[in-house]
Amino acid sequence: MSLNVLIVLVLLGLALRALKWRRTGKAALVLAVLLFVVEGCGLLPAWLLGSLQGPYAQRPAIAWAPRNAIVLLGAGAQRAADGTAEPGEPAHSRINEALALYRECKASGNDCKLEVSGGDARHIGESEAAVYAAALERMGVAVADLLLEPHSMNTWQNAKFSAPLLRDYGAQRVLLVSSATHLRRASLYFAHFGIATTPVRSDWLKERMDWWPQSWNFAVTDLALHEYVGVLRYHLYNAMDWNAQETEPGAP
Amino acid sequence: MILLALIVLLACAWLAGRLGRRRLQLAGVALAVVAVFAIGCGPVPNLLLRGWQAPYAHRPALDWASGNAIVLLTANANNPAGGTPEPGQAGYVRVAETMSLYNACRAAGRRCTVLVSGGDAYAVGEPLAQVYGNALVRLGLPVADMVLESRSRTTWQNAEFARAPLARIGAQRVWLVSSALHLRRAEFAFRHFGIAVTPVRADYVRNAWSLLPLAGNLSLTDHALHEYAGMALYHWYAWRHRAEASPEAATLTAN
Repeated sequence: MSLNVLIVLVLLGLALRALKWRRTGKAALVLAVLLFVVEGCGLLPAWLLGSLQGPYAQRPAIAWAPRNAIVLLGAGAQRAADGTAEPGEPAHSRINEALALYRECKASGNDCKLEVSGGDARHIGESEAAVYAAALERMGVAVADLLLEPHSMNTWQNAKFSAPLLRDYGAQRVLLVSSATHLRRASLYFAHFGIATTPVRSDWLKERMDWWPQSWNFAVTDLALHEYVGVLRYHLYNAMDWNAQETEPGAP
Repeated sequence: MILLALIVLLACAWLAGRLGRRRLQLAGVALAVVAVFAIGCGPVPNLLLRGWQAPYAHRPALDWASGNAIVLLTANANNPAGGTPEPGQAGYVRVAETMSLYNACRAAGRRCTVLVSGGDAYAVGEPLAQVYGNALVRLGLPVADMVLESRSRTTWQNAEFARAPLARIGAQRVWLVSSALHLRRAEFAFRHFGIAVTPVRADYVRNAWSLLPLAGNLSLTDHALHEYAGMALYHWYAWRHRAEASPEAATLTAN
C-alpha cells in the first residue's frame, strides 16, 4: 500500500513536470522523498504502531469465571513440503499465548474452552481452525476443550461466527487473543456482535529506527494502515447504518 | 540493505545526468524501477528463499536417542513499556517448535533437555535465553529440563558456547531448532565446532505474489540477503579458524 502511494507520487511528479507544471511537479517529488524518509527511518510506523498497540501493551490480570472462553483468531495457514498443513508464521505468537492462558485457566480449576476461529482463508484445503487445533492438541490441550469455528474468512466473520458458539457455551468471560496490532479492530467487531471481550495481546510489533530507510518499516506501516482502514470503515458503515442488519436475530 | 542499494543507484543516475551522461542516467533509473518490481512483486525473494530453505523443508524422522538435547536458537526480543522482555515476532514459532519436539520426546518416553541459547543481543536487559526460557515454561516446559546459555551474541557463538553445556547434558543426539532460513548458517557453525546436529525447522517463509510491489517482499529479500552475507562471513571464519582452536575453546577445555 505505502509503496504504491510512493510510486503514484513519483509518477505524478514526473507527469506534472512533463506538462510544464514545474512547481507542482516538484512538490509531489519532494513529498515522495519526505514520505520515503519519514516512513523508512521509522518515525511514521512508530507513531502508527504506538497508538494502535498502546492500549494492549500490558496483559491484564485475569480473574477466571466459572465458565471461560479463550478465543484464538486465525492468522493464516500453509502447506508444508510434505503436504501437511501448518499454521503460518505470524500465527504462532497467538497460539502460544492462547495455550499459556488455557494452562493458567485450567490450573485455576474453572471450566475453560479454547475457541479457534478461522476458515480456509488461504485456500489450502483445510481450515485454520482445524490446523491450529491439531497443533494445540499436540501441545496438550484436551480435545473436549476445543471449540472450532472453521468458516470465517476475515475478522468480521471471526466475530460474527464466534458469537453464537460463545453464547451456546455460556461463556462468562471471553478472552480475545490476537496480535497487539489486530486487537483494536477485532474487539470492536466482537462488541458489534454483542460479545464483551477482554483483549489479551500476543506479539508486539516494533519499528526499526535507523538513519537510512529500512524495508521492514514499510512492511509494518502497511500492516498498521490495514488496521486503521478497517476501523475507519467500520465507523463509516455504522454512520451509514450498513452494519446494523448484521445484529438482527437469526443472522448466521 | 535493498533500499540503500536503490538509493545509491538512483544517486549515481542523478550524478550521471548532472555530468551530461543522459543514457547512463536513463539506464540507472530503469534498472532501479525493474529492481523494485522484480523484488516487490515476488520473483527475487522467491528465487533467494527457495533453494536456501529447501534442505530443511521436511522435518526429520523423530528417531530419539536415549538422551536428547534440543537446542533452541533465539531470535529477536522486545521490551514493551512497563512489561518484562519477551520474544519478538520471529521467535514464537521457534518456541512452539521446541515445545512440540520436547512433548514428542517425552511422549516417546525418552530423556530430553532443552538448551536455550542467546545472550542479551537486543539490549532488552535480560539474556535472550532467559526471555525465551520464560516463554517455554509458560507453555509447560519443566524448569528441570531446561539449560540456559546466556553469553552468545551471534549464531557463531551460539555454536561455540553450546559445546560445554552439551557436554554436561551428555546427549547422544542434538536437535537444532531454528527458522528454515537460518538453519543453513546455524548448522554450518555447529558442525564447525564439532557438534553433529539434526536440524529441525520452525518457520518456512514464503514470498507473496503481487502485480504491484509489496513492502513485505522487500523486507523478506533483506532477510534472505542477510543470511547469504552471513554464510559468506562464516565460510571465512571457518577458514580462518580451521587450524587454530579459538581462545574460547581453550578456556572451556581447561575448565
